[in-house]
Amino acid sequence: MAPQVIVIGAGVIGSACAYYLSQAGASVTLIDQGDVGSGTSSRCDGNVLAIDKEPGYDSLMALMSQRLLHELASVLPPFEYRRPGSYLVCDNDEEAKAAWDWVGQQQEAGLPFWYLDRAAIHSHLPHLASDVPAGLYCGSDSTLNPLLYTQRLVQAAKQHGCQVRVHQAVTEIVVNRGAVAGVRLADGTVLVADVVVVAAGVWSPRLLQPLGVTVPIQPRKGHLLVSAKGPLFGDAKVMEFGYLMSKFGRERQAPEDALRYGVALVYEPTESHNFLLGSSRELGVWDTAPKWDVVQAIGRRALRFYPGMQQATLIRSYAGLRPWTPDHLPVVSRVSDIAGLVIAAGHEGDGIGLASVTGHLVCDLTLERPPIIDPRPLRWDRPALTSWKDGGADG
Amino acid sequence: MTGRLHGIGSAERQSPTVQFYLDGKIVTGMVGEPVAMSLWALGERTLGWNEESGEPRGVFCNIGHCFECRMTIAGQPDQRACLYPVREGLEVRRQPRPSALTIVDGMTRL
Amino acid sequence: MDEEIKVERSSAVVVCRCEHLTWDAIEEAMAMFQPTSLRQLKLVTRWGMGICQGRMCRPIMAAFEQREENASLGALAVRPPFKPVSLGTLGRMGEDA
Repeated sequence: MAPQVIVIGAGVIGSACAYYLSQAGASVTLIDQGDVGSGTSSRCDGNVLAIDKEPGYDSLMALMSQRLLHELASVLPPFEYRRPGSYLVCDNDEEAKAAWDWVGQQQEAGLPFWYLDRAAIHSHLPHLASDVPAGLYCGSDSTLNPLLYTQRLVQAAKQHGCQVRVHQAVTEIVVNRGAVAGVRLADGTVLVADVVVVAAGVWSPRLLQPLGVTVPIQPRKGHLLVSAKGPLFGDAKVMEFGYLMSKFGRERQAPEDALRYGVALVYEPTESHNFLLGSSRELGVWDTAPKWDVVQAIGRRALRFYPGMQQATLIRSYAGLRPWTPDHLPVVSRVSDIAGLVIAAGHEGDGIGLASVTGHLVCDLTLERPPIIDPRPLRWDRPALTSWKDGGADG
Repeated sequence: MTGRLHGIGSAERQSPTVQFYLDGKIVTGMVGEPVAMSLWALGERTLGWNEESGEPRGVFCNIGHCFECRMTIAGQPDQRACLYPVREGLEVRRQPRPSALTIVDGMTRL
Repeated sequence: MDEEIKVERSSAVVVCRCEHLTWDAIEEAMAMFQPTSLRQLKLVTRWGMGICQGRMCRPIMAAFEQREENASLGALAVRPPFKPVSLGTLGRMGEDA
C-alpha cells in the first residue's frame, strides 16, 4: 500500500519532494503555513551553480541536481529555465592566482570549467571594469524563475494526486512509540501519516526541537536589488570570486562595507528584460525587510565591476533567509530514533539548485530505493552538526 | 506661437524658446516646460515603447506618478519627461525596446 | 463617484501598464495557479512588479479584491527605493557633497 506522506513546507525543497514522491506513487499531502513558495523560495535569485562547489561530494551533488533539473525542464511547463553557464570574476591578482588553482582542481575532476585570462574575460564580458585581471566560466550552470519552478513542481505533483494545504501551520509533529503518527494543525486537527518530511527551511528547527532532534539551521539573510527593464550587461550570470577566498584559507580584499555585510557581486539577467543584483550575508537575522546600508553596499560593489551601471535604474529591493548550516551542506536524512521522520532542509543559498536531487533522494529514502547519491554526508547526526555549539565560529 | 497645439490655455505666452534634441533631431520648447509637453506641442506623442509588448507609449498621468513617459534625458534613463524641464541643448532619447536574451544554452556552444 | 468599479474580462483591458498585463492574462493566471494572496498573484503574473511598483494598478487590484472570492488576498509590501533611483546616485548617497 502506498505510504501516506506529509511534506511540511511548500517551498522549492518541499515541492520537489512532493513531486518525486507523488510520481513514485506515494500518497502525499503538501502543507505550508503560507502560500506555495512564500518563504525563502520567493525571496531569492534563480541561480543553479556548480561553479562555487568544492570538487568532491559538494560538486557531485550539484551536478547531479543540474542533470535532474535539465530533465525537469523538458517535462514541466516553462519556468524561464536557461543554461547560459556562469562566470566568476576576480577583483585582483591574488584572486586570479586562486582562481587558476580552483579551475585546475575542477578540471581534474572532469568538470566543464575554463580559466579566462585578462584578454579572455574581457572578450566574454565586455561590460566589465577594465582592471579585472581574470575570471572563470562553468558551462553547466543555469538560471530559472524560482517561484515559477516551485509552482510547476506543485502543479505536477497535484496531477499525480498530491493534496496541497496552504495557510495551515503545523504546530506539532505527532510521534507515537518511536514512530511518526502525523501532524497537528493550529485548530487542533491531526493529519495522519506514515512519513513526515520536514522541508520547512529556516523554520525546521522549531518543528524538530520538541522531538529532541537538534538541527543547527539558522537564517542567513541575503539582499537582492531589482533593476528596471532596459539594456542588460550580458546574458549570463556573473559573480565575484572573492567570497570563495575563504575556501583557500586566504583573506579577501574588499571594501569595508562589503566585508561587513558579506557582500559579493551577483549579476543575474532575467527574461523580464531586467536584472537582479546581489548578494549579502548576515547570520542570525530573521527580519526580511531590506536594510538600506546593505542595498547601498551591493550597489557599490556592482559599480566596481560594472562601471557602466551608473545609469541603470534600481526599482526595488528585497531580502530572504537562507537556511544556513555549520558545514554548508544540507540535511537530507532519516532520523534513526523516529521511524518515518525525514529531514530535508538547510540548503543555504543552494535550495533552488539542489531541489531536484533533494526531492529525488527524499523519495529514495522514504521508499527505501537505492539512493541517487550517497546520503551519508547529509545525515542529521554528522559530527559537524552534532559538535557545533551556538556562538561558535561563523561559517 | 502659431502651429503649437497646447490645448491648455489659449493666450500666447511670452516665454523664450530653447532648442533641444529628440533622438538627435533639433526641436524647440519653451523655457520652463516639461519635455513631454514641449513634445506634445510639436505633435510628438510617442515617448517610447513598452518593453514587454513593443507598443508605443506616451503621457498617461502627466504628474510624475506612472512612469509611462520615461525617457533617457541627459544620458540618464527612466527620467519622467512630464516633470523634466527643457533647456538649451538637452539630449532627449526614446528608449528602444530591449532585445531578448540571446544565450539560452551555453553548453551547446562549448 | 459612488459607482462600484466594474472591471470586465477583456483582452483589451490593460490592468498593469508597466508589464503590459491584460485582464485576460490575470484571469488565466488565477485559474492556473490559484494564488491565495495578492503577493502570490503578483509573483506569478508580475502584476505590480514594473517600474511604477503598483502605483497605477493597485486601485485595480483593490477592485479585484472586492469580488467576494478574492476578499482575503491581503496587501503588498512596499520596499525601498520608494521611487526609482540610478545606481550611480545610490552609490554616491551619504557622501559629503
